[in-house]
Amino acid sequence: MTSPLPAEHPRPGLLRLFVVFGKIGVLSFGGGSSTLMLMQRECLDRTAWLDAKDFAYTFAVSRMYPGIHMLAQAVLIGFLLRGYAGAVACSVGMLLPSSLVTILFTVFFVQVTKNPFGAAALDGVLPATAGLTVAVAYRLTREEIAGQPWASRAASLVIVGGSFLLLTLLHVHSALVVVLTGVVGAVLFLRSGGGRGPA
Amino acid sequence: MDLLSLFLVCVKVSFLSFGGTAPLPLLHDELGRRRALVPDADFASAIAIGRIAPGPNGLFVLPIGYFVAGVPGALVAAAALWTVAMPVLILLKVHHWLSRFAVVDAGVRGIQAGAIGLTLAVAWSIMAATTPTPFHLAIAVATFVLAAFTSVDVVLILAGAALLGLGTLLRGHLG
Repeated sequence: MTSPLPAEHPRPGLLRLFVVFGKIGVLSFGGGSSTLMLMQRECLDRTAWLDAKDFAYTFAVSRMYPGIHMLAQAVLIGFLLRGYAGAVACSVGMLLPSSLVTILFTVFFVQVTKNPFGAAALDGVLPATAGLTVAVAYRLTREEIAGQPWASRAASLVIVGGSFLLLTLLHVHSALVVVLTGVVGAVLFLRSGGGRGPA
Repeated sequence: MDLLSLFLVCVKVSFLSFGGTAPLPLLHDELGRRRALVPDADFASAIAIGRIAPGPNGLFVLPIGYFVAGVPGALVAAAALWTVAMPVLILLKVHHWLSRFAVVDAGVRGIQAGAIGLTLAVAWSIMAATTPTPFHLAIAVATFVLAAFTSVDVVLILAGAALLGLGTLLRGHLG
């Protein structure tokens, strides 16, 4: 299928899309915000392939979808520009080179940590990742409750605490916890008025 | 675990989680706690690799695949991430219709909030496995404070933790 955008809209080549999104992938360091910034720079500022409204639309739809949001957004941008082939070019471009670098790095990491110096460095890094994971949860919670009415904040905190306890103390299967949080969230956020509501 | 099973597990946890870091607790539950294929220390290594190596947030699934089945496992994990991403085009078709229902939005918010609690549960487990001494606990707490309340680069924080680990080895040799 071809792009749903008007015929006069830019139609970058598939190889170009692959290369640009490959560059976005391998230059993304430190999480989603850097990937988003790079996508915005490449697709809006440098090339004007998309306008701000279309870019925001791909952002909003990808946030409603499971999996890696940035990868889903790459699929959507590729589809808008060149149809299904564009979706494949952008997503494979974002994933393939960065995955190869990550795999090479993993092999290197495993080899390095086999010698005593590498193992000692890893002994310091492992507890740091535990602290890092708590920090990720803390920052996500802060974002989750920012600017929300008190009832919605309470609902968020109940779900955060409840899912933690279900998995840690009661050893409920994580997939079941996900389903439960979806159902409880649907009830609590609708009641608390914290949902963003119909578009 | 064979590669097809690994692929299916990665697809399942990705479809059940929203955002790059969200599959971590589900993978930990599935491959760590239930099947005992990946110990907590390897999960911690995967998180570190995911933060240091480039790519969209969420590529820590690749080192986890590597720890299960080597390079083919990592490639299978990458293929699973791609397989999950492509059907977003279906959502593109039904998005306008779905967005009329506030309950969908509220449910997704619930899953996102739940993912935070599940992430905390993984942190709890990794903390228990990687902090055998007060020294290790101090590294974990210091990392939390730096990562949560300052803008210090994560790679710098991890490099500092690695130096502290090396320092204990050298102190042991010198002492």
